[in-house]
Amino acid sequence: MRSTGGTLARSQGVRPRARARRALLRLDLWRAVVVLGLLCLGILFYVWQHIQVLRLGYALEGLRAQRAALLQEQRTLTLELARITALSRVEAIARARFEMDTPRPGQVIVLPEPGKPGAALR
Amino acid sequence: MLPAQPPAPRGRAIALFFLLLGFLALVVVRLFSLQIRDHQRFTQKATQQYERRLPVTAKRGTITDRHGRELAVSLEAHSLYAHPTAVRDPRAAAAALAPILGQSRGEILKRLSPDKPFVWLQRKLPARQAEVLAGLTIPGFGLLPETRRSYPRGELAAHLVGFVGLDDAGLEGVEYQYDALLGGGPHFVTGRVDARGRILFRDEGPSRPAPADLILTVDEVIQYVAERELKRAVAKAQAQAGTVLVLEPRTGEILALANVPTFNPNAFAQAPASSRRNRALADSYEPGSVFKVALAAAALQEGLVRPEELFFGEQGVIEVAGLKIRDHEKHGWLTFSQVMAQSSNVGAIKVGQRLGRSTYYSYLSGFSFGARTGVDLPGETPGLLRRPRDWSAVSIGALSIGQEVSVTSVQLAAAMAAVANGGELYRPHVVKAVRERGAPPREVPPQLIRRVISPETAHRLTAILVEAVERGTGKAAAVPGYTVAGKTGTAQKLDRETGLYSRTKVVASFAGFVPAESPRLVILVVLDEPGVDRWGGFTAGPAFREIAREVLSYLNVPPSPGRRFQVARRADAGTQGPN
Repeated sequence: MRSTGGTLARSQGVRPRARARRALLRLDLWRAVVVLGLLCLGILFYVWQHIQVLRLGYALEGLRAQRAALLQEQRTLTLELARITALSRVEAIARARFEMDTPRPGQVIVLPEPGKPGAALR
Repeated sequence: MLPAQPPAPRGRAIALFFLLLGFLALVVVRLFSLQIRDHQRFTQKATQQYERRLPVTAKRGTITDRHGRELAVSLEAHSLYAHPTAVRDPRAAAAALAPILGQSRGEILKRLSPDKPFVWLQRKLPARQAEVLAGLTIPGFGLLPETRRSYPRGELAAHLVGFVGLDDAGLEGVEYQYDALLGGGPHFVTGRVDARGRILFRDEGPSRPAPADLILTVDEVIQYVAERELKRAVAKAQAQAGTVLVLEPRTGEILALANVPTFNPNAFAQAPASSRRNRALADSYEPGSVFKVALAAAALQEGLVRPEELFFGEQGVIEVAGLKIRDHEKHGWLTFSQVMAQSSNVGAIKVGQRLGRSTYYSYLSGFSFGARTGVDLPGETPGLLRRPRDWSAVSIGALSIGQEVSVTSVQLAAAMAAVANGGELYRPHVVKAVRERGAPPREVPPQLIRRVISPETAHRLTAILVEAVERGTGKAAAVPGYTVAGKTGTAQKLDRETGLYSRTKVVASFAGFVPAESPRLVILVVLDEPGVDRWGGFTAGPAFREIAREVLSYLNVPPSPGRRFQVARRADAGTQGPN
């Protein structure tokens, strides 16, 4: 009885402690998992940031090159337009292809605007 | 025998401790070596691996006319270079490059001479060639981005716009004068690249100021008309050269500046230096009778003559300090207006003698003769106007008829503009506004140099110059529907061989403004050594008329009051209406 009573008493006294220890252990494990998880997330975020920066760097450089190419094209087209609209070319075409001629005196009459001695220099 | 005793746990621990300590010491030594002793070397090595000097091409600013029409534009181009010492197989490289560059293999091989560290194989390649070359990976060769200057209007305003050299530096005209503002050329920024050499980031950093665009005072249409008519006039008169200047009299803006012979700035190296010279401001000459405008301005301002005052023409000959000076025809009594209209040398000399040396000189220097006008173009010569103390007894007579003085076309045009605007001398200029990146255009205000004559004097002189066109030597310059004021000039050139005035070589000119009552244009036409029709009124006058007629129509300037056009009918469209 004594021994039984002693074991019982021990088990009755120890079990709650072991349970508490196990509970604590479980809590520590959870904490560790959470901490590790956060750490992993942090590392992932850090790596993601770097990858994003690299990716954006490439994208930025690509866009820069695209912009430069478009600007170059715009300038080329501007130049082409300027060449095509050169007055010597326009006059040559007007005379040769359309048989046009410079208006003679009297064919162009500029009417003065009311109240204005002359139009401003264009 | 006793079995061998295992080492004591403490001893093992000590051995392990020292082993680890030794390992740690090695790590520390290595770390010291890497981080402290060789830190700089490794840092440099790493930097070299991921940092690059990236070429950035800042395009030279665009030059446009007053309405934004492009006169000079820069485009991206690439230049092919080689480090001959780094070329492994020059023969193979030459064979690959020859068809792309359009050069012979031998020529390329010759350039790849190993005694040179760097050679250009071709500068400013067209985009297509550069693209093909970029696809080739031949060790020792590279492409450097540059810019190529293009002048889309070709010869138009070539002397005014100028041109740039291979290194994109301005060499002539506005390109030279405003080189610092127009800027351009390649420069480098630091950037980071990945293992494959692709650009990750670039450090834009504080770069040099962005090139500015220039808006000129020139009008493409007016410039075109001036050039076309000048070419016609030079060809018709069989002249050696010619110049036309068109100015806005109220501001001094140069609306057109044309020279013949001219050149194409896209291929300026192929043109002789004489064609590239801006004669309008680099050449000075004795102006002849057109200079009488300055004489008349001075005499009227001083109150020494009245337009209706009579002068005796001495039957066309006057003696000044023993030297006989003749008129082109014999004149009797002439009013001062007629002296100017008929361009009488005798009458002009008499007026000059009334004026006296110092007074006349003060007016001539007031009009900026003998000094640079300050036009914003390179190569302006001041001409020659000697001080009165250096004048001989003949000088006052010679200066009265535009001899013993040399002027530039810019000076003459600016002086005529001063008469046209009521007596104020403005600095002629060609840049209307400067447009810096991201900012609105900054206007260049007109710059008044000084008032030379009063508005009343200018008004009286204008009436005299109108008579010179309507009833005098400048009849051929009359523009139907408009009142023109102007003066002809036919100046004999000094023969360098004989030291005397040539009988055949002259400078023919006409300077005038229109409409006389409210001037919008000052036009100067100068023809150098016309072979036929030597008189300024017959050679330069018609060119003035044609330029004025077309430009007035272009500018929508209404006819002068009291002037009418005869409306041309289909049948008589070719006839010219009366004034």
